[in-house]
Amino acid sequence: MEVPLEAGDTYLLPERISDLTGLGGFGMAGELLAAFIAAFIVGNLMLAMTGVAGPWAKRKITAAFTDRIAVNRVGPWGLFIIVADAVRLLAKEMIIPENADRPAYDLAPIVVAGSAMLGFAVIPMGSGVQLADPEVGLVYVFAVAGIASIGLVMAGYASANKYSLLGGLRAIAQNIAYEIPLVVTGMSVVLFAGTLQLSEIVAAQSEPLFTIAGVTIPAWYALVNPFAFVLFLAANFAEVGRNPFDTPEAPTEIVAGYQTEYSSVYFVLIYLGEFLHIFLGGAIIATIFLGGPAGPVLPGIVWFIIKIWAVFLLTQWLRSALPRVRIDQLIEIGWKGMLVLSFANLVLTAVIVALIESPGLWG
Amino acid sequence: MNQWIAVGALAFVGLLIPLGMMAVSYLLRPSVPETSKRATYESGEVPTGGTRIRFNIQYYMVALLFVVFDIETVLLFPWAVVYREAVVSEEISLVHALGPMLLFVAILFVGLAWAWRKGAVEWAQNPGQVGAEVDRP
Repeated sequence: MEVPLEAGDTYLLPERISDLTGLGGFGMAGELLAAFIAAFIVGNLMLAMTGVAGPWAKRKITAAFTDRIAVNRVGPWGLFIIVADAVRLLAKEMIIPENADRPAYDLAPIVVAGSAMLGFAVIPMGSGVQLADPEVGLVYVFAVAGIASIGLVMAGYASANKYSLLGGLRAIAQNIAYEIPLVVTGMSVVLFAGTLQLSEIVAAQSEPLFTIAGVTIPAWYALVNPFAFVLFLAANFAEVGRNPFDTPEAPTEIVAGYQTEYSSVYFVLIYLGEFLHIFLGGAIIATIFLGGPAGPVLPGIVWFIIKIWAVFLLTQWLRSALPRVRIDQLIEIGWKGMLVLSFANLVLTAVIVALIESPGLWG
Repeated sequence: MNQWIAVGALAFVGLLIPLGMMAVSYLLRPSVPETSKRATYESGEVPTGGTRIRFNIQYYMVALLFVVFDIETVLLFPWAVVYREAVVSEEISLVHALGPMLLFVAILFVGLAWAWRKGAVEWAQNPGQVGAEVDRP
């Protein structure tokens, strides 16, 4: 039962569950069941964090920024409002516009919510919580995070509403404009790590960078390459459609963008998908720039959740602090600014890596 | 154990959760059909015209540009993975490790510069284009 791990292998959650419960003895069916249990745990952990705690935290944080109190009547700190909200939203009448393109209109919320969940499969969350660790981890994450764009444009087109159509088009234009800077900046991390496997990228960041007064600072890529970190943060906010890049659902311009015609459970699913995407973005940032689950004293998963919430707090801070950019500014920032800067960062990183790793090459 | 089984299992869970929520909502929600409730929402006004409207050509322009650069990023990933190893081994010179990538990126940047000059990445039309539009018979 105990398979010795080869170097570079990680003890993944499905294997751990299969070893703990003895499911490994049941062959293929046992493997499938163990994988399903592990996926169920990870999926519900993310759902609890994003779908349940996320909206409540968003209200509290925004209220704190605007000097209000927000929900505080139901339960301690208004926590039970989450239950009331869930029941209220699920019990709303579903109104489907008469011109809606039915299969696409119904599929879009499932695509948006389901695809966001997929990205968490390869994220090392610390304390052994990681579903899979394929060698193409980083590319896989970027690939599945991009699927949501299809869902958004489906939602925008199938609603047969002018606001929705414009919102869907804006969403796709924004996502493709910032996808390239996002991926290319992520690539500059690969130059340092020399691998796409996320557990290896995390391991590479545990090496000491320098020591100040007895405290060893680890080589987190946010510290090694702060320029890439800032670029990646900006591209990520555009990718998940948050301020200052929330033009696809700009309420003062196009009502709610692609989700204008969605009500009841469909609205919940799209909203949930967006929250999952914010947290997936936070998870990617934590993994490739902030050392993943690394941190002193507390267990890995706690540190990982703290880092994700730090990124979430930053999005809510920007939401309260920054005005929205116009659509033409957004496209120009993306194609003229971010794209050029991200390639400059890539070339510069390549040169720096060559300088550090083998000074001999420079003659 | 094949790792992709777990990824597939998460995809299954990712489908199960939305479908479960839809089932719960189906049991809870009321249905009160009324005339004109299902009309297209246009801020409370009576909807006018179709919704398959003409929109800005720029959406297509940036999409075309994206296809080019997206393929480029895919082709650059293998280079990024082997680059460090190649530099550390010192078997090939830096010109051979870095040069081809620089050339590859440079070719695409010529394309971007061309698109930039043509105004493909500019949303607002410049005064010349607007004038041409107005003067058209």
